[in-house]
Amino acid sequence: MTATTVIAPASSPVDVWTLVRKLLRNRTILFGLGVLILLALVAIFASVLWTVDPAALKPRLRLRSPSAVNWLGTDNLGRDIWSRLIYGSRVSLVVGAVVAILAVVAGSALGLIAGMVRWIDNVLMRMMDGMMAIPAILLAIALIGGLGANLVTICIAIAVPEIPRVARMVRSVVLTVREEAYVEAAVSMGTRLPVLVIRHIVPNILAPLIVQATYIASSAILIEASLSFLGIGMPDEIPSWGNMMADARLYFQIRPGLMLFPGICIALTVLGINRLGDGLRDMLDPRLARSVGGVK
Amino acid sequence: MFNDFSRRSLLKAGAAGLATGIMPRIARAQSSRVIRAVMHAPLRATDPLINTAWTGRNHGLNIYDTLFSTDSKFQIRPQMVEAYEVSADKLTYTFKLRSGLKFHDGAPVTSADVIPSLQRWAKRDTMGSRMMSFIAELKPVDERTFQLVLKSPYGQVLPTLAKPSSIMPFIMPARLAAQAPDQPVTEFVGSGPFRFIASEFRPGNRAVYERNADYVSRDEPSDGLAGGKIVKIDRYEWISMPDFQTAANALVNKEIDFLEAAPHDILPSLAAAKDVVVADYNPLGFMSVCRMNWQSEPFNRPEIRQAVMYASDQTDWLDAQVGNPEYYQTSAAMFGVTTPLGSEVGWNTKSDVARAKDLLKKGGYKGEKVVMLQATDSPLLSGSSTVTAQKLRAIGMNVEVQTMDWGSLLARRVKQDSTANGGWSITHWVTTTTELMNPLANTLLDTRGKAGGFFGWPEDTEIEGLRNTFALEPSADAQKAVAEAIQKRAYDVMTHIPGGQFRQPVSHSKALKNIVRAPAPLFWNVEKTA
Amino acid sequence: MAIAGVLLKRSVSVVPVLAVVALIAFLLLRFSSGDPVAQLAGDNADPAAIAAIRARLGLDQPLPVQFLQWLWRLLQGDLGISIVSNQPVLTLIGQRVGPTLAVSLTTIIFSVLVGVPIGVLAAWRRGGWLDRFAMWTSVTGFAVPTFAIGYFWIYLLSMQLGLFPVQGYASLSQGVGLFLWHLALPTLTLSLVYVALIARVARTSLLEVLNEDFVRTARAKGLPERIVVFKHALRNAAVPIVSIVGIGVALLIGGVVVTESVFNLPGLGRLTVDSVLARDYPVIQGIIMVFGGAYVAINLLVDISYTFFDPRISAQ
Repeated sequence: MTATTVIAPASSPVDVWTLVRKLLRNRTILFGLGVLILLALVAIFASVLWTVDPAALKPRLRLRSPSAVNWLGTDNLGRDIWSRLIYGSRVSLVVGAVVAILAVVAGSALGLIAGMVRWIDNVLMRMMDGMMAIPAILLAIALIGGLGANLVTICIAIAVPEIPRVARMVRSVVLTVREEAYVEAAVSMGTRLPVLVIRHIVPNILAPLIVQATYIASSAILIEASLSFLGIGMPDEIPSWGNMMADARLYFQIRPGLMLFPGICIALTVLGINRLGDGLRDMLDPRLARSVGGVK
Repeated sequence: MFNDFSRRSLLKAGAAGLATGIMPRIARAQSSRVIRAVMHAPLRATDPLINTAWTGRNHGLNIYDTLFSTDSKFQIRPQMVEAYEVSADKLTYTFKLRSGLKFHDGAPVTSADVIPSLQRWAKRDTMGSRMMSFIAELKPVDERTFQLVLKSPYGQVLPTLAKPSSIMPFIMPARLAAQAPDQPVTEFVGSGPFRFIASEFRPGNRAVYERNADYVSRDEPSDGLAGGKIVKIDRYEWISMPDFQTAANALVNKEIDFLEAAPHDILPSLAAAKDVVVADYNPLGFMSVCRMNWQSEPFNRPEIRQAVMYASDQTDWLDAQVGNPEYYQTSAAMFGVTTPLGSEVGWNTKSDVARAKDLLKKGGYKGEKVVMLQATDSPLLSGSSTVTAQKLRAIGMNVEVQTMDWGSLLARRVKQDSTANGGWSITHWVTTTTELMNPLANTLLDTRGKAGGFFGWPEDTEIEGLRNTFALEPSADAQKAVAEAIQKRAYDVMTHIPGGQFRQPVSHSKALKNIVRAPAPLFWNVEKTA
Repeated sequence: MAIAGVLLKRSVSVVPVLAVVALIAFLLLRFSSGDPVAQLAGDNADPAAIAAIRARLGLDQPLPVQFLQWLWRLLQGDLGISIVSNQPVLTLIGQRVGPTLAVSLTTIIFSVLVGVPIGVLAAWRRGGWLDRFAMWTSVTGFAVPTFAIGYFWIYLLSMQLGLFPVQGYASLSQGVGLFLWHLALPTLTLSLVYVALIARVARTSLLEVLNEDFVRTARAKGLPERIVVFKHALRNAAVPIVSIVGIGVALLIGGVVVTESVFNLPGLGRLTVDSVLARDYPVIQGIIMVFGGAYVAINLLVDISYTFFDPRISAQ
């Protein structure tokens, strides 16, 4: 990465407005944003949209076809699929968002430290290399094996393997920025570290971080589904699209809808988030398009 | 696209042509002397005394033999034993082994092998150790004869030796039986109808057995675990498939011959498949259990345990686990519905919410956290927990469900700590009726408490006293009366809540004939037609 | 600069990474909640028996001691003995490595064979139907959980059309045909994501190269577009493609774990899940070391291969 990628911070209100206009003119971004806003609305108004308590069991009414009461039928414990799908939007979005935030925050912190403090750099980066050498899902499986499976531990287990990639990226940006003449000048003038970070590093790192976060969020939703499939996912009391799909695999040939509906939800969400990420990446920094680290 | 039938069959025909074109159909046209079977779980550990799961017992049944066996009518029949005598004072049992019995390594089976085998087994099995506590001496008389001398009369000697459930008293060569009881044997030599092919064993994935040509079978026909064990195939492969749907598809596609435990919901589609039979060969089936932990708040109080029972409804449990009422039966019987000791005394299996709430109040429930362990491996394990969690919340209990796989649950349920320190309050599991039909073998009624008892650790001297009475009672009628008293008391103090009984039919290829009716999948006597 | 020197330097840099992998592998499971001893001890175990087993397995030692003991044995090539099956971990891994290696290789080969041409064609006819089709396939390929893709292929190609077996694995010794026949569906399942990935990278990097000066020169010289794309540009676009194969290996292993369960391949992925579920520490640690080592080795190879593909790097 060269100095040409360093973007000056957009601070004036006029700049913000052009940015928004630019965002809305991009069809890829518009599609991604549209999907996400729709999902967010569903998640926020879930309690209005669901027709039956998503946790209510009626074992006697199991595996029913769609009806006036159960719009999409019931699952193997007689729970309403429509209501669980609606409620599941909350869980799946929370998993995506929490994992992305956790990974980005932890990764940025480590990357910053590594980039700023030379003697920690070596140790920290070797740790990160070691973590990257272990396949993400293997690390996640092992972590859940240790921590047990609930919403919190699953988010942690999915986030941890993502941290090294974020840390590496942040570190490389920090190292580049440090070499800039104006930054060296600021350091020599005794600018305090937090000021330095906020004024010079954050603006440069924001764009790639946002792009990275979208990819992490979408892969988190998929990994959550895979973990449920492997039998170490979220308790089915808390419906997520992932565990609904995994639970449904037994009924795949009897009631395809059980797997199809949450599958469509996942595919649409992941598609939306990925398109948003692609669009942002192309727009914010065309050079990033080449970076393979961003492709998930 | 596939709605158009003619187009679909055209596609199919084309595809079949393509398949034969690219692929010699080796895999499908398997030898008629090989059975490929998918069991409810894979074999991981091979010492049947260490691996106490059913997998361990089923593995043991293939390669080892036992002195006595239980037939399909729960009668005790000699197996390795040719004849036995009980002295007039009922203190000395003399057993004589059948002639010609040989281990897989060619050595003859002698009294010197039997005695250490029994001794090692008794250190692992509760019923065995109870019997040992009555034994003064276990001694060889000659090569094929040995004696068991009791300190005082004990009515359960033969039922113990004929124990049909884990842990079974399998006979091994003396050199292997010398292994410490807590360390697995590393060589698998028995005198049973199959040999274990250790070189092909892939733990968790595949176990292979071949016919033991030197096996000396009894002359009688096969009957339950007893009788003749004539092997009519060359080889039997126990394959694991982590995914039930895949296993069912493989059976339909003729890639396997036998599927032990297809979930009930997919049985109809299997039964409808060409060349697949869905049938039940297990005379007793299975029982599910709801167990509370006596050692932790709030279930250390009997009223609160009772409250859980009155909040529960067996039909809801069984609907969630099994679904199709054709396969299940509600029952209060703690020793199994159709067994000699079956009795309905104690509970009507229905919920009584008012009474449950009343009992909660009486027990002084103050919102203590109830930690429920839920295994998610299959609907059989997970279904009932989800139901219970909801029922308990409905009567005002504070439930936290912790999900895990069955293996982790096994590890968690040994913890006697408080719920704050990783302990547990309530959980469900499934067991074979065979394991519960005898009050002495029934671990759920082991009421020795924290020190010696079974997970959940109920403590009740009255039940222990009744179990001792049962052990010494010689007549069947008197035994039944004692068993009923035990069950009544167990409901009063609430050792566990029986979850009802269900059948688990197996699904197999139509090519398999003469499968033995027994409480375990057995592959002797079975024929495979081409 | 001598290539041997570069190789040596790169190989040495791998050592600390492996040490970290070993540390993580060790710590991860020592802090886990499950207790393998409790499972081993069985239903009737008393606390004394449990303590005895713990001592026998060395689990009663302080953590640093356990780590050093483990590391020492590791350096001697001893990965320990499975707690559950009582077999050497190396044997268990050796038994299971075949299917995982096989399905990984077929997937990589298939994906490169299919992905690169798609990417090249998409870049060549930018904006054409193939470009758009490739883009949407890649985008959806990323959006569906692997196991769902697997079920789809089973339903369509096995159950409905009877083309391939539903599950299972045949080793090479049983015949090449049988071997490939069993690997077809797992490969298709895993490849969807991977083809998409490679096609995307091939397309982007080719587009970039096509804008570079030497390509313009070649065009200006009047060379046909075909030759420009396939001869000049593709060679220079190879570096990102090769590196994505390296990076993709980690992604691939993730997919393999799930795919092995769907198709019942007796590979390392399934062994991992089973061992985690059974709290079989030594096996999990062994697998992490093996996967970590494989990842490091592959990336080393990718690193080295740059020197062959990119004249700029070898000229340094």
